[in-house]
Amino acid sequence: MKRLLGVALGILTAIGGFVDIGDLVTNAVVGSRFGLSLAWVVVIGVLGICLFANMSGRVAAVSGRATFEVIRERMGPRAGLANLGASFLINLMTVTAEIGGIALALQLASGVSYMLWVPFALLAVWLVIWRVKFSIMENVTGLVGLSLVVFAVALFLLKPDWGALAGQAFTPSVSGEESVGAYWYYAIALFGAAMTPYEVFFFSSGAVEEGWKVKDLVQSRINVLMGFPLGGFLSIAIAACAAVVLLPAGISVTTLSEVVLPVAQAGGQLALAVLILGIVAATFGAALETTLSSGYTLAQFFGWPWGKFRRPAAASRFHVAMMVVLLAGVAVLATGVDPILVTEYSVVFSAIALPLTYLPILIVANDPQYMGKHVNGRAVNVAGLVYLVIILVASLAAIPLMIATGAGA
Amino acid sequence: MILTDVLGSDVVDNSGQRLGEVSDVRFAVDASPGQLLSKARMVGIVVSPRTASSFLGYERRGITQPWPVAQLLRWRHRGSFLVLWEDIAVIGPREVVLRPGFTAYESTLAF
Amino acid sequence: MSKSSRSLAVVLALLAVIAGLVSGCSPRPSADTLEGPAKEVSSAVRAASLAVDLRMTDSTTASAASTAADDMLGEVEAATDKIHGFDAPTQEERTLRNDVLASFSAISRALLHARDVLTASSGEPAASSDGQARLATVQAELRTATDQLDSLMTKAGIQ
Repeated sequence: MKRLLGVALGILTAIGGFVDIGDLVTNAVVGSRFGLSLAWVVVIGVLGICLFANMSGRVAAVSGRATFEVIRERMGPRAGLANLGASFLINLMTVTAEIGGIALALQLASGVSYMLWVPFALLAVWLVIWRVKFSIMENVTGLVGLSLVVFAVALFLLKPDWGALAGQAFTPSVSGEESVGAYWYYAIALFGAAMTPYEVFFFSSGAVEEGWKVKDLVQSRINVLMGFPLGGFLSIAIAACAAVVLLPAGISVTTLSEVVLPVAQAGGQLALAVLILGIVAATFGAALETTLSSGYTLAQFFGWPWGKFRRPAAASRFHVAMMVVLLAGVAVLATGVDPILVTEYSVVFSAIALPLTYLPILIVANDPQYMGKHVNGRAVNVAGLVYLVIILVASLAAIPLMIATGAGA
Repeated sequence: MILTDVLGSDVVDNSGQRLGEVSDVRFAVDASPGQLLSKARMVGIVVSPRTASSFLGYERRGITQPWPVAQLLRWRHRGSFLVLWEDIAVIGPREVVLRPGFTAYESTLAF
Repeated sequence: MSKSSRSLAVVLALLAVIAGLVSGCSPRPSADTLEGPAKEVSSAVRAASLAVDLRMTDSTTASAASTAADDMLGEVEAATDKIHGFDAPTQEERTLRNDVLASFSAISRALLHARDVLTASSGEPAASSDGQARLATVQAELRTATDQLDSLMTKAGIQ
C-alpha cells in the first residue's frame, strides 16, 4: 500500500512538475496561432525527455554521478567549460523566465503589477532552497502544480468540435495566415520547451540527492513513463484551449493574461482561481528546479560539494552560486524586459543547446566502466541515436529560422 | 606547467615535419605511493593527426556503442598514436618536438 | 595561441554575419511593415474585448481582467513605437501610416477606459446594473475601435 502510494505520488509530481512557464507560454502561443497542428511536436518531445530522463537517472543511480559530472569527465575541461557556459546561460534565462512567471501569475491574482511581486518571488524561492527538504519541496510543488489539470477540464467544458481538433492534430498543415518558417520555428520552440536540459540536470542530480540505488530504478521509470506523457497531455490541453477560444477570435497569445482567458470562459472564477494557483505552483517548482540546476551544473563541473542533503555550510559555494543566479535573474527582470519574451527565447536557446547535454549522457550510458551491466540496450541506443539526429537538426535550424522569421513574428 | 599548456599544441618530428596535435596525455598510477593512491606518472602523449579534440572515451577498444558515434570519433582520430615520454625531445610553448627514431605506439587502450 | 585566436576570429565573424542579417531586415515602409504591428494590435484589442465579456458574465475576476487590459495597452504602445520607427517617404505611405496611428490611439484610449472600469469593478458584484452599464460602454468603445482598425487593414490590403 505504502509502495503504491509512493508510485502514485511520484507520477503525480512528475505530471505537475512537467509543465513550467516555457511549456505554458509556448503551448498557448502555438495553440492560438497554429491550432493543434503542432501537437505532434509535443509527442516527440515528451518521448525524448522520457528516454533521456530515464537514461540520466540510470546513470546517476548506477554510477552515482549526476549529468554534469559526467559531462565534465567525458568531454574534458575545455569542451566541458564551453558546455557549462552555454548550459548555465540558458539555465539563467530559464530561472529569469520562471521567476517572471510567478510574478505574472501573482499579478493576475492580485491586479498588482508583477514588478512588485518579483522581489517577493525571489525571497520565497531562496528561502525554500535554503530551508526546505528536497523531497517535500518536490512533492508539494508537484502536487499543487497538478491543478493545471484545469486546462483539460476547461477543454471539456468548452465543448469543442473534437473532430476538428483531431483533424488539426493528425493532418497538420500551416494555416493561410502564418508562414511556414514561423511554423517550424515554433516546432523547435515546443521541442525545446518539452526537452529543456535543466529537467535532466535536475532529474539526475535529484537521483543523487535522494540516494537512488539500482533497485529504485523501476519506481523512477514508472514515474517518468507515466508522469511525463500525462504532463505532455496537459501541454496539448493548453494548446487546445487556446485553439478553441483564441484562434477563432483572432487573438494570438503574447501575455500570460491571455493564456488564462479560455479557462475563465469555460469554468468561471473558480476555474480561474485553480488555474492561477496551478501556474504559481508550477512556475515556483520550476524556479526551484532551475535554480538548483544552475547550482548543480556549476558545482559538478568544478567539483564543489553540492546537494541539498548537505547542510548549506558544507556546500557553501553551491548555495552562493544559486544566490548569485537568483539575483542575476531578478536583475534581468528589473530592466523591465517582458518575462514572456524571455520565456520564448529561453525555450529556443534550450533547443539549440540540447546536443550538449544529451550526447554525453548517451555516450556514458554506453560505458561499461560507469554502468557495468546496466549499459544501454540496443533498442534504447537506436532510439537515442534517432533523437540525437532530431536534436541536431533542431539545434542547427534554430538560429537561421530565428533570423529568417524575426523570432516567429 | 599544466596540462592545458600541452593539449592542442602541434607535434613535429626532429626534421620539423608536422605529425598532428596533442589530443591526450596518458598517465599510469604506479609511481611512489601517495596518501591514498600512488602518484600519477606521465607515460606519454597521444598525437592525433587531425584534431586535438577529446576521444570522449572511445580510445578504449571495448567501447563500441552507440555504433555511429564510436565510428565517427574513431574516424576523426584515425591515425593517432602514442609517443612515450622518453621519445619527446622538447615540449615548447608552441610545439612538441619528438626525438629522431621515436616509436609510434598503438594509442587505443585494451579494456 | 594561434589556434585560439583562429577560433575567436571564426566566432566573431559568425557574430558579424548574424548581426548583419538581423540589421539587414530593418523596416521597409509599406503595407507589409505595417502588417505586423497592425495584427498585434488587432489581436490585443480582441483579447481585451474578450476579457470585458468575461467580466460581464462574472466569469473572470476584476484583477485578471484589468491585468489583461493593462497588458494589451502595453502591446499597443509597443506596436505604436514600432510604427514610429518606420519612415514613410511617399505621401501615400504617410497617409496610411497616420491613419494606422490614429486608429491605434483610439484603441489605446478604449483600452485605458476598459482598464479603469475593470479595475473599479472589483468592489461591486459584476451583476449590478451600474457596473454592467459601464462595462457595456467600454465594450462598445472597444468594438468601434476594432471595426475601425479592421476596415483600415482591409483597405491597406492587410489580412
